[in-house]
Amino acid sequence: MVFSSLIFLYVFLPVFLTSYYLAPIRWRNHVALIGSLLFYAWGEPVFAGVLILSSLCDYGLSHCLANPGKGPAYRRGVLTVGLILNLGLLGYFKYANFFVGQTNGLLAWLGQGSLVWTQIALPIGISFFTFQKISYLVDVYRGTAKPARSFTDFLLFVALFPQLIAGPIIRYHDVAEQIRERAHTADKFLSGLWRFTLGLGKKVLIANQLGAVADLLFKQEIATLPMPYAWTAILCYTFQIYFDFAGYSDMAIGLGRMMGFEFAENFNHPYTARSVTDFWRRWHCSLSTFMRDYLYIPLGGNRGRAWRTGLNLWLVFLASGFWHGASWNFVAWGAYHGTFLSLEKGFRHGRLAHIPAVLSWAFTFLVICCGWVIFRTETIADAGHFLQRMIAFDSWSGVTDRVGLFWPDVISHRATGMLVLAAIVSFIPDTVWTRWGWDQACPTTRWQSAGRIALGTICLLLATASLANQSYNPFIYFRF
Amino acid sequence: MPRYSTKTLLIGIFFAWLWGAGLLVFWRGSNQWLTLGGGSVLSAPTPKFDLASLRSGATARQCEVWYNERFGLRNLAVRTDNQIYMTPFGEAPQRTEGTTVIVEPGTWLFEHHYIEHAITPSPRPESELRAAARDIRAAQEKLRKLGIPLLLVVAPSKAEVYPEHISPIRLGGRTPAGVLTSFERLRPFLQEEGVRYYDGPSRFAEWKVAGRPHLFAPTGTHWSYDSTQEVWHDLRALLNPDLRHPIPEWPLRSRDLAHPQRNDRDLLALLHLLNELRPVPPVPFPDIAPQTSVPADQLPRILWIHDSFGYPLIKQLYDGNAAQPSVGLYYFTSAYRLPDRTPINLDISKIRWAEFVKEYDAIVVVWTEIAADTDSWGFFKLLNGQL
Repeated sequence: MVFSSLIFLYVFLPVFLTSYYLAPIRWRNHVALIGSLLFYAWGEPVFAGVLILSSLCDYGLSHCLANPGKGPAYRRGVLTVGLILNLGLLGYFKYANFFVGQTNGLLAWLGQGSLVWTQIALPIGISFFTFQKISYLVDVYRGTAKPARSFTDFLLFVALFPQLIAGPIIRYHDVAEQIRERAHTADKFLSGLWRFTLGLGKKVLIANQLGAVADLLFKQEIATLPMPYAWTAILCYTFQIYFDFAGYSDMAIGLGRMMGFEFAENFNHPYTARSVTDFWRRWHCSLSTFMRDYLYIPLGGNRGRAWRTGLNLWLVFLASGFWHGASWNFVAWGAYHGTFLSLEKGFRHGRLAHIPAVLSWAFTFLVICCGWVIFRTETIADAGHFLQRMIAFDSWSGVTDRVGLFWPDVISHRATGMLVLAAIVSFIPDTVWTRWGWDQACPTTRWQSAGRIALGTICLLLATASLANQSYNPFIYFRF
Repeated sequence: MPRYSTKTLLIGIFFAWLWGAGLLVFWRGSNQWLTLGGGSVLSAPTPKFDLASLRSGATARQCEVWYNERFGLRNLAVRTDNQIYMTPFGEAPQRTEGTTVIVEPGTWLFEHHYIEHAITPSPRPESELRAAARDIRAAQEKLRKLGIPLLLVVAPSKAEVYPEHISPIRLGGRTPAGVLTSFERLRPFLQEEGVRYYDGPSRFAEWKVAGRPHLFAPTGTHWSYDSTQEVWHDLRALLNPDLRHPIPEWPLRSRDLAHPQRNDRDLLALLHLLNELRPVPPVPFPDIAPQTSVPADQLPRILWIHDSFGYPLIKQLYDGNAAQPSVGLYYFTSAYRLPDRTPINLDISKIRWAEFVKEYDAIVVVWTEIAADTDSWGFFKLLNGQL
């Protein structure tokens, strides 16, 4: 089930929220857990079993890790088992098809027969909940968190439906206390409602419009795509992926607040970044933090020589790319970002710091856009062709004969309007948002309250209208 | 910051909205404005709740489709979203399925599909076009021997008749006149074979040159209700000499300029807006009176095989009381009774044509020029095989 669907908004949400608030406080975690499991099992009931069984293993292992009578070698062994189990599960469901495909390609090249293999379906959200479970085991191992007091508490941490499918990646020590006890206030509920409706608007009114344009153009023959179409495609995709993912995170944070939870922020105006390093501090923050704490620092972080730090960064981004999907494009995308980060690390105190803000921002945005080309295309060759088309200054004549698409069919006036709106919203510096009080959980003035109520209502009503009028509604981040 | 009571009220309104909108799915009621209405078709099957469907996730998908179709505010929501497309952006949504309406200045509406067809050269091999013409001629010849005239009526496309109302950017530097479509390539073969047909595209081009207005209503996709009056004059001239019972003329009560009605506003209706477009150009509306000079048993019985361009012709024929009750085969796939247009449970593929055609005085096949490649949905081939 996706948040931006009529059945979620007008069946699941009222039934769940009403049950949740009618239940006595001590039963609310149980209501939340049942609701979360129903939410997950709705589309793929079989995988709910995978989620529960793997969580049971992690819960058992965490209590072994916390056993005070056992030595460090035992605890390290238990952690290793936990990591193997979790990464093995992720590897099997997410990467087995890819590796078998690659192996078969190699065997075919060598003139050998192919491996017999049945394609495996990917459980939704496995990348996210696997990382959450790993964070739990490592936190317990490090002593930064105590094991969950009950299996239902732990399962609620893993399966809590607002963040189950596409994050933000919640770390156990951040929410352990909230699972035990949290406040339910009208302020918190309204703040969550505002955030949820805002996210719904971002997803349905902006991302879906731009996504339709990007999808149309990316499925054309890339080698003959005219330059204006290539730029339209990548700009639409650049804003689509941001408003889609940030919209989803807003909805997750908002729903969490409506249930009394506070989740960490996942985005902080990433397209205002002035360097790729800055971008990764603002984009998918929960993944960046996870990678820093559970991979970069264990690899040695920035404690070694400059080349070692650069290599660590590059490896982390390679892994991060591969986490996004089983394809060479994601690996290349990770390597691409890792390279820029490593270079920036090397030049941090050099002349790059003195480049005018507008230039560094524009350069960073261009780098990010080119990165999205690698991310969005199906193959590395396609990415190369697409990047070529972005700088192919051929004439407009014969464009429609080559592509078979006229400009009005490519992008509607409404999508153009949404593209402009998305650009304005994305490029406003965060200092301005802060001055407007946008980033505060609760409004502090009457005007802010009125503005939030008005904008939230408009987003909810228009998103409902749009959802009723469109069947095109996939979330990009569901495949990760 | 709202006070405590205001906050409670806001939360209450939110819950009431969710529950109210959600539960409307169970209330069909008579208020079509809120629930169903134009453009809303209930086609999703009732979800299955058996174990296999539940396990595979099919139940969930079926429930979502079922609910989306029955969402209680669907009609209002769709109209609202369409109005957002129209009012600030001056366009209709692009549909991946169904009809996309193109909105041009002066409230000139077109179907996207017709524009596309008008500027896309026909790729069809010449041999196929020639064979299609031969099939029509052979069918006409066989029916003529049975004393049943068969007339092919080709209706024009609005995009071909009024290309000047289409923005150049939509035509991609082409003009419909400069592109040979399948019908334009079929025409010489029809003439060569001696097929008796009504060439709507040529006739409308002549009328346009002669300055005749309102051939199509700006807000409709079919030939206007007014121009089909003139088409009937031509059709009578083509059919009546071969009919035992000729089609009589019918009188007109009036022909005043009016707000578009019937097929003259079909694209306007398809826009499905909260507030209809303004201004809508008026078009003449011929108010037909039933003829009384020819008794019912002296009227012809005509079998119609047609696309949507056949409806205005059929409507006028029966409004004018100029034909006996008969049968229509829409797209040669669904059968219905005339004049009341009630569906008939008739399997068209099992019709024994040698017997079936004898019940009729004439057969009229109607399609628009963009349907030239369908070969009348296989009707002539089938008929030739059985007669």
